[in-house]
Amino acid sequence: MLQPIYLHRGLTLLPGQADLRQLLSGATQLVSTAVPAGSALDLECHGSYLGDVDMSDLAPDRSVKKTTERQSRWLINTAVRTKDALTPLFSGAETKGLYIGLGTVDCDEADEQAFLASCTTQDLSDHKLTHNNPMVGLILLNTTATSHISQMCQITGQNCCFSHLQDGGANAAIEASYDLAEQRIELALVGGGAHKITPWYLLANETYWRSFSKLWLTEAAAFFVMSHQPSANRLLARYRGRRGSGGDWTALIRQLALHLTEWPKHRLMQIIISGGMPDQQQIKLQLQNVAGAAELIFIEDGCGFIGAASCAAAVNLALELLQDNVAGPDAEGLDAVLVLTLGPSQQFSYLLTGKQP
Amino acid sequence: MRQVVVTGVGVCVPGCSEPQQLFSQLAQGQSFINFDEKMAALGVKNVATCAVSRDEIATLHALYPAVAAELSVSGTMAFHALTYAVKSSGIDVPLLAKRCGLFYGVHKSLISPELLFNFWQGYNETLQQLNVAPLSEAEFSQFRPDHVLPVFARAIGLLGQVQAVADACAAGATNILSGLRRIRAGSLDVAICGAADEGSQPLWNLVFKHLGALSSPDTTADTMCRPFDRDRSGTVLADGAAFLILEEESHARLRGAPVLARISGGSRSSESYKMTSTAPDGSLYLQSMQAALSDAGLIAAQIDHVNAHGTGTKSNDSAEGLAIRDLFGAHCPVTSTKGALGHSLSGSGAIEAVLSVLSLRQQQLLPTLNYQCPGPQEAELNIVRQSRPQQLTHILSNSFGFGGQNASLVISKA
Repeated sequence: MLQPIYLHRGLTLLPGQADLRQLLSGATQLVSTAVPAGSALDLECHGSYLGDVDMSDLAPDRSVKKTTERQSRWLINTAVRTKDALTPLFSGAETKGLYIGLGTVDCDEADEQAFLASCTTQDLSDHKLTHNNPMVGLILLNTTATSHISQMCQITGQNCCFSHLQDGGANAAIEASYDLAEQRIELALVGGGAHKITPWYLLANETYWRSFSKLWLTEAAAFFVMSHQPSANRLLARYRGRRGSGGDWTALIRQLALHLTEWPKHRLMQIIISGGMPDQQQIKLQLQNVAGAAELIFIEDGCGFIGAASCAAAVNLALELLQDNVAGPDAEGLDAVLVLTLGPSQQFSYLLTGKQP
Repeated sequence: MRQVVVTGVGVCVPGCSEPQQLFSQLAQGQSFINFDEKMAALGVKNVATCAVSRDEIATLHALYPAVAAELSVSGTMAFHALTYAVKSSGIDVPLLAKRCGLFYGVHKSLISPELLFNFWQGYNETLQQLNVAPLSEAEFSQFRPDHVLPVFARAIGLLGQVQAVADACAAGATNILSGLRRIRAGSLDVAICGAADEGSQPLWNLVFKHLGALSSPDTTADTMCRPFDRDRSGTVLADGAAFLILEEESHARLRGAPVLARISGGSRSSESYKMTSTAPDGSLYLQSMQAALSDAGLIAAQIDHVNAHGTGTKSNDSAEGLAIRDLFGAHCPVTSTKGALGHSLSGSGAIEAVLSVLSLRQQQLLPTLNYQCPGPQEAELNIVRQSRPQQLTHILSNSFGFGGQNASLVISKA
């Protein structure tokens, strides 16, 4: 890396304005209800719902109001408020980029139910031609939310949207770090959003959910900022790899152990893992060899499965923990946190952040 | 800086699944656009598409039986393009281990009306009395944007990183840019870059029609997409897939690989302007192209040909025409192949990159079908109407997506 990259804490949006750290400590809990479609798929599934967000104070223009639905509004809301919370950073950067991990936006399930009682595909096409919001095509596109965020945050530089689930969120962070390191930008707004909990979401990912003993889905969005402007926490390392088909995470975690020995000055405080739910026990066992005294935190234990929002949510949590540790009595020596993201495309990514050596 | 070359290409479009054959057919002025039967069956007549037929998909399934059940229409087409490109390049993917990555441009795969209807019948409690058998999970997982990646990776023995970009109509080009940059930076030696889409899917046509972006009906389907023409009225949606094998040049030459072309540079940006249109003066498109030139270390005068985004919509072609004229002048030959192939959304950038590679190999320009003259106050451009030989060293290819996601690539003679 040619020029240091620093991480700046942003916002994580969870149902009920919950705080991830408090959820993980057990001080608070998310409200969750049984997801009806889960039983149709023989899945024990609970969901924690965000509902819609009020963006009126952000003064979105007419095109935003016409071409968004609640899933994209979570994303826009969190991205813009993160930018507002870090305004001096944005003002100081000439070139900026936007990197988002996304689910897909699908048919509005309430709308579909209204006409599907007619039971013919002809009715479906008639309905799509006559009753649908003419802008529905734009609402369905991931790049619509990206465009709105770009406009509202005035980001015209490098940008990319990524799919899908945790891999999308991790790819956003990794790609942003490349563009910063290679000096195409000075600042990156990085984040991701979960998919809204719908029967379609369950069905489209059914092969993935089958490996979960219990499924807890949560609607969420999270953003943070990477930039060349100094903060307490640098990006010390990042890596993107993949386990082979049918393989487990063992080889990659061993590789992680090898990488970590390159930074003897940084003693690992925590390892925050997202996306490892089906293999949590195996990952815990493997990481014990790597982690030393570091605490292992699986964010899904506190907030459920949040898909493409998970990498950014984990980074925000890492930065919060590092900030508090600096101030605390145990500050000496423990000054790095590893954010590990494991994805359904077998992708394995990590970001190591901590104090500048 | 590490140089990046192209050592293999593959395509799959309705009616053609071999790159050189596709180039030859396009050079002869063939159109692949027809009136769409799926839309007609839904009672919406005179919609033209470039749509893959069931027979073609059945043929591909017979070629690749191991993956047939796991892939959607666009995934199947992409799989063919991928395997063709890998085979033609001669790379040994497993041997490359983590020095080879996969980059895929993907859009939103809308399921067909029939599947959507069956899905609700199967899982909606109030309709379960109809006793419809639920669909297999494979039929739904194939619609996950990233689902194809593990299938592709397993099939070619890929051990390295994978990435799915979802930049709408720019995705075909942005994934090539991602691969290019990883090779330049030294983290990969080979990047397998491709994209695919099923633009002819009825739900896409219905929403585009509702947006007013589809071309108006005409006497014949093959005249309905008229890039840059005064009488253009919209685009024609299409199915399509393409893959390119990008490789670090010394790595390619050391193994005696066929070096087809060079990826000299590119750019990717967000307009932050408007959701549904670009700046009418073309200035934002011009910025995209200029940034690509800068990245390639070239000036405008060195570009011999522009492979335009050229969708056939009023706003895109007007703005892109002005941008091309302002940057390259009125003399630079310009082609849009969408008049023949339609707009395959995510797939288009990758397909047009392959066609640019072949233009450089053949030293030949492809035609823009259905162009007569520009509209009033639109740029006078040197639109290529008939295929012809041309000395070509550098080609610039544009891909502009909804929401102002812009990408431009510079592809050069090897």
